[in-house]
Amino acid sequence: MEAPILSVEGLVKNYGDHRVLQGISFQVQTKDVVVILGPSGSGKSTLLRCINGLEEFSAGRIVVDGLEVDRHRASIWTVRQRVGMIFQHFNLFPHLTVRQNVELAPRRVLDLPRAECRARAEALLARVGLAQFAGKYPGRLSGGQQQRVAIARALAMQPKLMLFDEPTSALDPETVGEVLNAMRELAASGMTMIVVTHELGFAREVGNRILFMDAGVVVEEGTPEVILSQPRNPRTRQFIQAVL
Amino acid sequence: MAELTPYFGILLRGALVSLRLAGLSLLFASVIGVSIGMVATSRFPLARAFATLYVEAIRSVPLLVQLFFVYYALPLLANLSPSPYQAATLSLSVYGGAYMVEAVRSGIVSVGKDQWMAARALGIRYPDTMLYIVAPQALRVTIPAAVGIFIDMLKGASVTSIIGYVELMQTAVNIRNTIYALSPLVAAGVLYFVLCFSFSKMGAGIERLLRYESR
Repeated sequence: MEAPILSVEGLVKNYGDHRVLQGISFQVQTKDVVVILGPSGSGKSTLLRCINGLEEFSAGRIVVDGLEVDRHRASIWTVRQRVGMIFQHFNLFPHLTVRQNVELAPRRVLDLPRAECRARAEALLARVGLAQFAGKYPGRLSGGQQQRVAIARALAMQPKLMLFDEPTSALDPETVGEVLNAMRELAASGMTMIVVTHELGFAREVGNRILFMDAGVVVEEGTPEVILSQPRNPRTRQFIQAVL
Repeated sequence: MAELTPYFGILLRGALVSLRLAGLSLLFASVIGVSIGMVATSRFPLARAFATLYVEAIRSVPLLVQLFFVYYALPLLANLSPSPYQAATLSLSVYGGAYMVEAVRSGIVSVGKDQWMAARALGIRYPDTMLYIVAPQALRVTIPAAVGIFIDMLKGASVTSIIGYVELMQTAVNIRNTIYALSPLVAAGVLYFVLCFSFSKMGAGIERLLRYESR
């Protein structure tokens, strides 16, 4: 088996006296779609933010694509280039047009020629179905459209791994579908993804592995069929019943 | 008012001198504001404390006292003897600078942490994040504040007449001492009003231009 694209070993994160992550270990192989489920406050988002070094962790080890994640090493910037992240609230740059949002990182980080950045942006916006919005400002778009722009923006860096932090939680119900569709298409194209979500349908259909987290530990791990249909752990069972 | 007619040219020149003094000081104040404003938002507590000290110290002492310090105390302390023009520019710059630091700081702070996070997640480092993401958004808060600061500096420039710098205020006083009438002072007041009011209107216009949410 080839080396995992992501390996997390014994990850611990403390906020003051509170231990948010208490020794998380798992691996992700290329083309995996790992869905992380769990009640709010279970540490899912914190876990994601540790993976691309947005958050410092207290103990353990994270290796992304052969690079050790360490906020104090210059290589953290390479890690961030290879890991795309989608936020719950999109976090688009409101003063830039949709196209400029997508172009900015390839232009400033990868130092690609202007024309290439533009071509890349236009291709990605077409891919998420927003070509006609390229010149608009994010404030003019619906939540679902903004989130698709955010996906295009992350893809513009051609990441090897994509992290989704509750990508549909802040959306109106009618726009959830379009974002899930974009994610589904992305998974089908072979992107490696880690998705924190409460969308069990998506987890079942697109995920090939589910981690159930509670109170900073991975309580249960398995295929969607097993986790969603015959969870062994009582906490998993309780959560899934509550969400369904 | 008729007695004032021959002096209109001189009064206008005085207004220009005031504008130049305030303008040049604004330039220096902006340099101070941007550099120390960035220090004020840095993650180093000691650096932030330094910025706070500067802002609070300058804002808590009247401009007139600072002007006297530069003009009368500096020659004794540092063997420097600034001309009234130099002393006026220096005092006004340092004074306006403290307010500009606050304007820049509150501009930077107005840009949410989520913007920094999004930039970092894309691999964009501090200088590019500041330049392309934070600064353009911070300007919406900083520019209107800076216009207000400039207006204060323009009015504050009248204080420098006390150390013998001949700007609009001192020009008016000189004319009054020649023609023994109040009209020069009234005219100066009107000129100050016209200038400050126009800048204020201009500021509101810039503010409208900087609004992008509705575009």
